[in-house]
Amino acid sequence: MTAWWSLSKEAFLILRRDRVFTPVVTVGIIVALFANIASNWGIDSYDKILFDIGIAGFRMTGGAVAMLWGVRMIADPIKDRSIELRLASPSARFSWLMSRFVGLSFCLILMGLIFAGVWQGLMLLNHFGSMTNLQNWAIGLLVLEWIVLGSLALLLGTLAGLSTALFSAFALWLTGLVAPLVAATMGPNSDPFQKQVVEFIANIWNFQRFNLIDQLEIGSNHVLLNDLYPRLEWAGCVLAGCLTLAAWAFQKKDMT
Amino acid sequence: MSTNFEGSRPTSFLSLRGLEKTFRPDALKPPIQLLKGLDLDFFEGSCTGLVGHNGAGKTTTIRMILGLIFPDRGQILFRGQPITKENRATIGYMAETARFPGTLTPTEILRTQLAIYHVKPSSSHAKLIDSKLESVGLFKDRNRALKNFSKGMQQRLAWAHATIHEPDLLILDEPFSGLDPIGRITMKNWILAEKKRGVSILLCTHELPQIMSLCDHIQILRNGKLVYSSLDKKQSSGALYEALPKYFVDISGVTPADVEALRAAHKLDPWQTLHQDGFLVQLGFKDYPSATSWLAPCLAKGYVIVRFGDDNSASEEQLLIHFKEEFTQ
Repeated sequence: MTAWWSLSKEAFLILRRDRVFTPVVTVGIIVALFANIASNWGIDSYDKILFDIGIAGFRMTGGAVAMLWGVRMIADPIKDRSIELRLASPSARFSWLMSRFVGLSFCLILMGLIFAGVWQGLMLLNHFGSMTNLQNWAIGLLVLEWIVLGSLALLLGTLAGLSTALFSAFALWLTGLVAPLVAATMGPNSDPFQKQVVEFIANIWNFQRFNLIDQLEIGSNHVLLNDLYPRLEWAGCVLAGCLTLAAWAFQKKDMT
Repeated sequence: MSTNFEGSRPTSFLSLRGLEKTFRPDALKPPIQLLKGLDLDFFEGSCTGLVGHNGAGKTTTIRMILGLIFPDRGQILFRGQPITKENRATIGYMAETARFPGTLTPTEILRTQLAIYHVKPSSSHAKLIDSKLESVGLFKDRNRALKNFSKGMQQRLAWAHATIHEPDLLILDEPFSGLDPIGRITMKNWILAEKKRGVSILLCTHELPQIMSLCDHIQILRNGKLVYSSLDKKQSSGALYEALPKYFVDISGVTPADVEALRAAHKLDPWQTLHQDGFLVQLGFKDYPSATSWLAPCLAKGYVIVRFGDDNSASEEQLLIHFKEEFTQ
């Protein structure tokens, strides 16, 4: 087994056995079940209620835990000093950092698969049949959003302590979710400078790119690749940027 | 008592030259200079004890050797060349405060360790791990989560972790910390076994008796500088131990001037060390008669003797007091 793979497996096991894992999965399932119950309360569009609440529940739960784990992937080993035992070795700091990211990503993918399984169960329960391609993509993009948030949290974890990094990650995520919505509501009477600023932020920092909920409806199975590519490209750019900066900062960090 | 260093200075295989490090704990706080041009040498096949008060720079020095902290100035040389990642593959490290993640098992920890140290062949890893865990008495617990381990068990695992890849240099930071008497004897025997195998050892501990019995050389740090090296003095750790005071008279409510006046008035034997701690003055003597000669005059003067006795297992404190005397004279 290579050093890099071994370290990734270790990171994955730490998260998989983390005390947060089971409660998070349970919360995700409860939200999905609540969505199922709530969809029956609506007069019409019960599928929309199901998708809106269910997928949004998965999204928020997974996003929050991705940031928590991303920051803790760095903060915990620094706190318990186990980082010393791993870095005082021939393996490079870059390898250690990337293996933490890979371990985190695998754990988030596992969580995504569990949520997808729950979702499939709900679909069958409501006689909607198997998940469509579009629904698969919607959940896939959610997992990608968690991975991007994980890389952002990892970067912040290398730069600051646990609470500061966590707070900053939440603030940045919230900005990415809200900025495009605010930009869309700004009319011609809005202050031009403010409008320009909000639009600029919405263009470069738009977490709604991971959101396919609006396009989900029963029977819809139309995945526009031209629509997906820019979303994937943006995710790739943010991932690459965060990981490069994290590696650069981590390379220079003193383990005091 | 180890005394295998006599005479000429051996060749250094790990050298620290002019290491300097300043930390700024907080943007608003003034910087703290932890290392001030530190020069140290470590020798092939020998055991070197690194001694110093908390904050003397011992752990910072170790972390620099391991590449965990970067020096502001200075060099770390491995066999005469700047130390590399590959050189660090020959180092084993046992950290005092480091704890393994509680959800992992000893087998998983050691498996990763073998992989990152590129120990080959990987097919033999399982066997190697089992035999190592057997040797440290953790075989039965090999698949138990570490969060259920006692401090002693954690230390035994830390030893297995530091030595499983058979390093040429072992860096041990407080290896006796938190161990019961039997655990300490076991740890000492493990260190002696590695020493016999020809492994170079850097031992950092506050326990002077252990340093004296295990180390060939002693280097003492104070405020980020080397203040004593048994190599420069051409003195073995055994000889150093012999030079330390063994009998102590602790007098309360006096100053060094009072003690000096008493000595002059009664023509008492001179002390070997004098250490003042608030209103307490501690006098150290090499022999028993010198120490006892002070009792009657002190009592006659009305001084309170709070302790009188011998200390065969001279503490690290005594060593540091001894050298404080030496460097302030």
